Amino acid sequence: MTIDTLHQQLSDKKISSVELTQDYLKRIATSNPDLNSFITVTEELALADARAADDRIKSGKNVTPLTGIPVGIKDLFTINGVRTTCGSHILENYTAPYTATVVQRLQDAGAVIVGKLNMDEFAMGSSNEHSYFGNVRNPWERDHIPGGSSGGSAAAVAALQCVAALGTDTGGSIRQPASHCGVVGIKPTYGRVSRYGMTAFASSLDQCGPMARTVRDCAEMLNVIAGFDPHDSTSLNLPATNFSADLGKSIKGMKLGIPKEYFIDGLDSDVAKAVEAGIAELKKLGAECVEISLPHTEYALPCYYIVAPAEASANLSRFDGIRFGHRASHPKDLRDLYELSRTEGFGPEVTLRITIGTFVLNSGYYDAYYKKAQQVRTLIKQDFLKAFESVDAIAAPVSPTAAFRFGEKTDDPIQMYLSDIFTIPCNLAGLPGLSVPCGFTKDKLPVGMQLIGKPLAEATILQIAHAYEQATPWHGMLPPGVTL
Amino acid sequence: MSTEFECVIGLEVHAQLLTKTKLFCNCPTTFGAPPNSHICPVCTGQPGALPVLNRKAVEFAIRAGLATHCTIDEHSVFARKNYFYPDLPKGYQISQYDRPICREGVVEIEWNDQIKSIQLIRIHMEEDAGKLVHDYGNPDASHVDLNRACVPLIEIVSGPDIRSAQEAVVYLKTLRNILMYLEVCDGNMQEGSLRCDANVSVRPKGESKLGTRTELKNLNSFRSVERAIEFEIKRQIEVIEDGEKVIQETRLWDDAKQESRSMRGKEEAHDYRYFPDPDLMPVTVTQEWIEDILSTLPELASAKAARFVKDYGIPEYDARILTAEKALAHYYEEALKHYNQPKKIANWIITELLGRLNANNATIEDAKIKPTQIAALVKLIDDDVISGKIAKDVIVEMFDTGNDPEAIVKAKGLVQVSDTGAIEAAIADILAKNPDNVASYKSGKTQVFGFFVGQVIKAMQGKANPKVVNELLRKHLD
Amino acid sequence: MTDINKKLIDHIAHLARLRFPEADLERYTQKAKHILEYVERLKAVNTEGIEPTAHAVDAVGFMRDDEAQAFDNREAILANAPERDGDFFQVPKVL
Repeated sequence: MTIDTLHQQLSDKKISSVELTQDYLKRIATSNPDLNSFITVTEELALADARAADDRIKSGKNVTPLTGIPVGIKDLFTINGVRTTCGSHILENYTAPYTATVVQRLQDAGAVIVGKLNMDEFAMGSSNEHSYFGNVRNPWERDHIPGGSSGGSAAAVAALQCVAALGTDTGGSIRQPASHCGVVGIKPTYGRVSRYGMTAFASSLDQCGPMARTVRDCAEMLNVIAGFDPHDSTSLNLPATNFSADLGKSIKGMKLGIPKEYFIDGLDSDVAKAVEAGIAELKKLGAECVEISLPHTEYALPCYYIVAPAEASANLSRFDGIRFGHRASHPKDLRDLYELSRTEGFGPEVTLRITIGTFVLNSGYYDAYYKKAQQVRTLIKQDFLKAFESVDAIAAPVSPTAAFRFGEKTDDPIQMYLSDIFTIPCNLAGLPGLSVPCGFTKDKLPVGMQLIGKPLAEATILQIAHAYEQATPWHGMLPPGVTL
Repeated sequence: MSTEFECVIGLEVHAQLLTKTKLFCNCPTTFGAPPNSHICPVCTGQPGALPVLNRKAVEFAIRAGLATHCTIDEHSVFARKNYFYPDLPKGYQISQYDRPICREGVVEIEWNDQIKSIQLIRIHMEEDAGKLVHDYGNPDASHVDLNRACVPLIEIVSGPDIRSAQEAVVYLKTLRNILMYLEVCDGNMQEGSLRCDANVSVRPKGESKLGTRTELKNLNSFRSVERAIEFEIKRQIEVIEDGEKVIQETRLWDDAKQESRSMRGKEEAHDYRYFPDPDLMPVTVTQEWIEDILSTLPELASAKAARFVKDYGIPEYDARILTAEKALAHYYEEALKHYNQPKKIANWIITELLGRLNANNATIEDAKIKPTQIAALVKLIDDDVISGKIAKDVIVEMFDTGNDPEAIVKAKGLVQVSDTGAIEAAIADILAKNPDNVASYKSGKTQVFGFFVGQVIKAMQGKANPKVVNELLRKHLD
Repeated sequence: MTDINKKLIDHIAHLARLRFPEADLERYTQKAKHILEYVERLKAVNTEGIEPTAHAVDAVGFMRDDEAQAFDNREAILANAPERDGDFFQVPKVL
């Protein structure tokens, strides 16, 4: 079920939003014990939203494509009066006192919020194994990870627990789980979507984006959530863009760059095959594909693992057990309160990254690590800008492998981090990137193809992805046991 | 012979900007509100909340920079200063580090009857922290109030150009005056709108290398600035004379004990881990904006005083008093608009009005007497309606009631008597009652003339016009 | 190369207001060492004269007008306090 078919049914009064929402809530109730994709199901809120949507549809006023559509929200966006955990023990009992701009925009458009989705703690992870609330399981194969950090969002969309979901992407956290769960996910240009009310991991890299089963649904979601927000001074003040306007237009004559640095030894052969077939399909659709070089690609990961933990170490200082969140019992003094609350409250991956981030910002090491990383970031950005002088978009794999098994990479952080090696450059450069399903491995695990666009060229990569999607069968496939 | 020492002082002054709202959120900045009444997701550091810069605060910082001849950085940068404290909600303070909005300025002070330039290293913007309350009932707890968190401050850092405690006070007073003239800070040290830290070191006279400095905190009044620095200079000299070394440290001034104590041990080894705040883009200040602010910059005290001397012909001493506060200078010029007698009006304001205001611990803003009224009073004297002596009584009533001088004079029948008949009658009476004095006068002791004038005026309850009394007396006696 | 040892990580942990028991300290030190050694490969990049990038996109930051607006849900902020005394957040005595 996609947004436009459901919108049609709602408009034709074939089904009410309350009925639709009840269907989805039922589906969540049945499948969530197995998948664990939701941390909180907001049943009451959802039904209230649904009733309001039905009123809107009845009156015919302010009806948008999202009116009455059940959506899920990654549990790091605030909703006034709703628990917001960020997948962390430290926020286990935190009730947000305000609503994130993107959630507000969805609600204003009439969307129905069905719940808060599981995630790696504070969005730090690529497997969803770092959630305090337990692993999310991949709907295609239960003993495999769904990807991360927006694993709950990807799994929920794939398992039809919601029509679309919000995720966030700091180093691939939308695209990688989308790829691993066989759904579409887009990380917009940095600044396209407001970050107000989105708990920060690494502020200069974080960007909110939609995840859905089709390219068109992602575009519809983006139409609602994108745009300048006076509460986020890094959001871009630009005229409104219609992200679905170019869907259906031919991609004939478009020039696509295939970065040679993304087809390396570590790339799984099944994944390589699927992506190469995807590129071949794009050629068939009339796109011209040329090899390009992004020479600093190999430095993106080390660069990211300095910049992101540095920003995170400061962003997570506010979780101190003083104004909200977990506080250690009976601290003997202030230092005890801080150190025990934080040590008890944060999981191991978050703790490790705070430690790394604190280290690289330390005055004695700042130039060697943080400043150096920022300079390398400039070079990575320049690589892309240079490439975009000759191509319209870039096609590449999303992740070197399909979803791996739980526990497979937990002992070696670098092995885990490598899972984001192809998605991180986009965040460092602030570019839009998406993942669109492009096939399966021998083990029946989904594979995604990544499309990276010029700054603000979301419409272009959506157009390409849509053309590809319409020419291939992947988006129509459902995980075993999931029925419409 | 013992070595002569010279001290080297630099001040770091924090001034709260007079914006209506906080630096990064829309909460009001009103002082003295109930605890945690001016708070929101941003200034309490809720997850997901983001700072949005207050344009007015930037404008005020630029204003302060331009008035102190600073260079304005067209792309200054906010950075995060990381440390943990219960009054700091985000675990970092948003401040400016290597790209402050203003740098390399100068403040001219009057010192030893000369103009001395104190260099400014920088002026930067930052958010204030909240307040920790230690006396709210529970003796085992402290309490956090975040009303003040995120209130906009500028920090003004002077070079090590100051050489004595008294000079530091003059610099601070001058700086305060500039900020108040600019209307960017209310200058209230008691409420903490203006706070001062001092960096102090001593060195043998003639030595060019700086000695080890200490940082003095908690200087909440001009007096404590002076005392704390004096105390510190003496302490450092004693340390050196004892053959020991001054330790670089922060010292807290205890105003009650009139001494400072080391904060070593209580203080963390600070590593603030500054880095550019990714939530805020560089602060872009266009040349156009700077020029716009420059064109609306008010005349500052020193320029105003010079103009008063030149245009109004009043003594420099008076001009400096009248320009010490912007409101007072404005008051004076308003009075002149009504009656253009600059010297006389200056005298009446300085000796009669300011004296009373000071005695009442009040400022010119509190004065009930309006500028037009003080001008009217001076005019009444000049027009011979009342005498200067009577005027001194009139102004007392004006001060208390705010009534017009004409009304007071009329109601109390204080109009001066110039009628020669009445005065002559009084003179005749006085002369008749004092034959001895008349005789003395006639024998050449002319100094008793003053006695007769006084007696006549007294007999007429002060209302006699002294000029007329003088004339008629001479006529009678000579 | 910086020597990443337990003493250094313990110091860093304290700066970040974290506290590792001995067993954890060893583990975090090893992991941090591993990552910090990995990121050292940036040294191979010549960055002479390259401006650092702090923001993903170059944009002019938005500034807001100085207009007061009270937040209408202050009680919800205070309600999250782990320890609250009246309208204050309470913490152990700070000396």
